Amino acid sequence: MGLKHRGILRIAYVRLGLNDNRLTQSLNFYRDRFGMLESMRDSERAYLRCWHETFQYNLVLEQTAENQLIEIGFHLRDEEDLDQLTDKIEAAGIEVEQSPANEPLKGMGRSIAFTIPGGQRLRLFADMAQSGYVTGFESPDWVTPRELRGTAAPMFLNHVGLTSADPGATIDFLANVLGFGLSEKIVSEDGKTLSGLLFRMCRDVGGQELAIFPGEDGHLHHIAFTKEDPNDILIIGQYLREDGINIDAYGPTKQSYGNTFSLHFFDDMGIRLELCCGGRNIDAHPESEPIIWTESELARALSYYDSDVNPGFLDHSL
Amino acid sequence: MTYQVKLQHTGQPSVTFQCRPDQTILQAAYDNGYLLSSTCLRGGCGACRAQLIEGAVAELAPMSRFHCQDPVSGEFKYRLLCVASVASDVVIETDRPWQTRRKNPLSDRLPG
Repeated sequence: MGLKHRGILRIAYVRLGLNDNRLTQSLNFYRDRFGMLESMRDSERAYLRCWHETFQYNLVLEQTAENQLIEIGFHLRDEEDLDQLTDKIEAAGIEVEQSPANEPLKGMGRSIAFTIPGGQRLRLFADMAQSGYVTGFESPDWVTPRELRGTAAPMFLNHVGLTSADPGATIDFLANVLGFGLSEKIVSEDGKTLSGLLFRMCRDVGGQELAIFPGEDGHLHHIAFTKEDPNDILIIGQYLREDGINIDAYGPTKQSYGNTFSLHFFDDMGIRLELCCGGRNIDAHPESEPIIWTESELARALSYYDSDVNPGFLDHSL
Repeated sequence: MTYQVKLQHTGQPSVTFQCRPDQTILQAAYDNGYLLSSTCLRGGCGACRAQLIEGAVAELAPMSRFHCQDPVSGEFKYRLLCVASVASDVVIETDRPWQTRRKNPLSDRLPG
């Protein structure tokens, strides 16, 4: 008797648009130095995946007029979920765009796309082609593939941080309409919701697929990828520095908010990336309650070792 | 009960805020949006040293006497704000400039 969980099962990919022939530059970063694998390539796009990912892509890069976050993809359990969520989103007064299989992205079944109250675009789908593990499924060597050693070699896409002018409304939509759980939030002294961490509604290791921060609508704060442990992150931080990568305001740190060990840094286009491990294990019982941080504890929430907030960390990066 | 603290430093506009006798001047400054130079927060290192110009301070914990001395003359000149509180309204000249910090950095990002 398995848990009959329905709806969003996993965060699948982030799709970024980059201007001025940055496709080559971004491939140089994400494939050759960050250590993702190129799954597919066509005249418009490059599809990349993490080495521990079985599905075809976690990051889609394409050329657009302006640098932008195009969309974030979420994988559903089945087609029935897709229909049910379409109805729920439309009932919430949000326009839903329907796309046939393999459009706009390859290897994906039919999908829907819509804009959340925070201004970002999400795409939901039930089917995606699998590539299988790089290591193979049979008696694998669970070590970073030889060709990726010395790079960041992320294992999975972990979560995406977004900014919203009304974080409370964005979080309410994600929770009430899309069925995300709220694992943690930050509130102001007068109780207003300023930030939240949302996870898919099943037992969750890591505790977040989306992080909402206050700021301008429609922007990306950061993209986070999974690493195995803090030791891994500390060593990779040295490789990134050696490679001339700009580490963000905090160095490697324990982020109490979400309880990860994290390192934030910037890609060659100025987009903030995070390598993280750990995170809270959430048991998504319907009665589970979120952790609540007050804004006066923000310094401790964002970096446990630091005594004050680095304001630059709160800026969006795309 | 609170007393008024006036902070000054050459080349920086002075600021005032309230401090309770049970909190350090450093903490009261932080709570009011001023980030003073500090390191050990235990009265030891001298990073937060400042001269008392007017009024009286209380020591909530012992201060390093070495760091309270003028390095040249050896006279007792400084107080360490990480362990000093107020016993009256005070005017204080900090040894190093302070930075301003946002009290509500997340709320400030909301429009309006």
